[in-house]
Amino acid sequence: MSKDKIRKTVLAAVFTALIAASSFFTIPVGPVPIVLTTMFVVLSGMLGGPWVGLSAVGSYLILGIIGLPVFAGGTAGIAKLMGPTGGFLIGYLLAPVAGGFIFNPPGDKAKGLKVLLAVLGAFTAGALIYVPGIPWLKYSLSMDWPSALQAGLIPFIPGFIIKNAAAAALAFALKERFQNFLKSEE
Amino acid sequence: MAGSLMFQYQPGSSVLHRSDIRVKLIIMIALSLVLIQVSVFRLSLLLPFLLLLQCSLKRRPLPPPLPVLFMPALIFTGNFLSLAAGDALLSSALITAGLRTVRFTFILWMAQLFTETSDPMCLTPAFYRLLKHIPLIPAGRISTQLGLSLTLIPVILEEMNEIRDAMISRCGWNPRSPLKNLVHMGQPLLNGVLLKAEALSDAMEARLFTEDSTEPELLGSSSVLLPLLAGSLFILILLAGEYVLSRSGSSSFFVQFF
Repeated sequence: MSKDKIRKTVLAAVFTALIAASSFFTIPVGPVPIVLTTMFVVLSGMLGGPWVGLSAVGSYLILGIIGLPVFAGGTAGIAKLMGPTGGFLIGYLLAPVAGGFIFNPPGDKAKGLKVLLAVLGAFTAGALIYVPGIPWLKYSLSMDWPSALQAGLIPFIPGFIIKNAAAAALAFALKERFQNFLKSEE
Repeated sequence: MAGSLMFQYQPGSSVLHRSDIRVKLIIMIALSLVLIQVSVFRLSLLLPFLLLLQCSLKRRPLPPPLPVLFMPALIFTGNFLSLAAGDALLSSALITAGLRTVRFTFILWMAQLFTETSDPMCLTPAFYRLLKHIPLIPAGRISTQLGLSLTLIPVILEEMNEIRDAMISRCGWNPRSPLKNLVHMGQPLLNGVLLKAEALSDAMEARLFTEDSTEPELLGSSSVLLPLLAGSLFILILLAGEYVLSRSGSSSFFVQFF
């Protein structure tokens, strides 16, 4: 296996572990506590690149599907994926790809543009989690659209803003270190 | 870290410890598929099966972490309120919420039995042997990734808690500014995991790690046939019994809830 492949495999494993570990770690903010899982899902794509991020999230879902308690709140099983919140888990696959492509365009960019791309990448990636999540929630609980939005989106807006702003700041601050790790001489 | 102690490997010599990890994985996936739709019948048949497995460990179960203890109550309340607020009857909302809560507990219980009796060193080869049959999947890379991440989860959890405790002790944890907390916690955490990734990849490169190496060995003494037969037989009895009995007379005992 080439040096490049080994580093990508290890980084993906590290992000899988980060995403899984963060499901046990909550930060109390208002009525709905913040779970850090989505922040690390977004960061896996922004810092590792779209494919490392996708691979990390894919492995995380495999660990959950086989029954290891890595989904939010220490839950697991394929039933979780088929349940009302399963759409959000599918959305996890879209987030790192979008975040990775937006934040890592080819060529050097000015500092201001990098900040803009970090914010755009983090918020787009974070929003993509809700794209399959809300319709799935509506369908599985036979809700109407306002109820689905009330249950699956509105209480999470403050957390969404905080987590994605933090993801953008962290991605901007640490991008160079992660890129140096991935850039290796054969 | 205390929160994840429940899901750590505990060495032993029980039937579950001696069973092949691939068989345990397949049975766990099959049982979680059976649990997609739950009925009182399914859950009441699964309870003695899980109790039997728990007793075979011949030791008291580890106390679940505090958040896990509250989770069933939260799930029941959340489900009941959302169902009762919809069109569901009160009794139906109660039963559905109750069954979903029991399902959650059983899944957690199965995961605990699996992690408690499966040596992490044998997980990577077990994943590889399962994944290599699926076409277009780089089984070597994914199984390495899965094995590595399982080993890293407790380490990262411990690091997260240490950073948070350090921030609290230095008055750096301000409940009023969660964004600042996240950035201040995330930066050392990500720097720390990057150092771990560097050390790990250096070690793998030094050992000339390759995907095409000889297949790693599973435990030589692990049994395949007996647990596979027992698991298949249980699932067969469960599904056949449900089919036959529900045809003979419909009762709420067999009504299935998603």
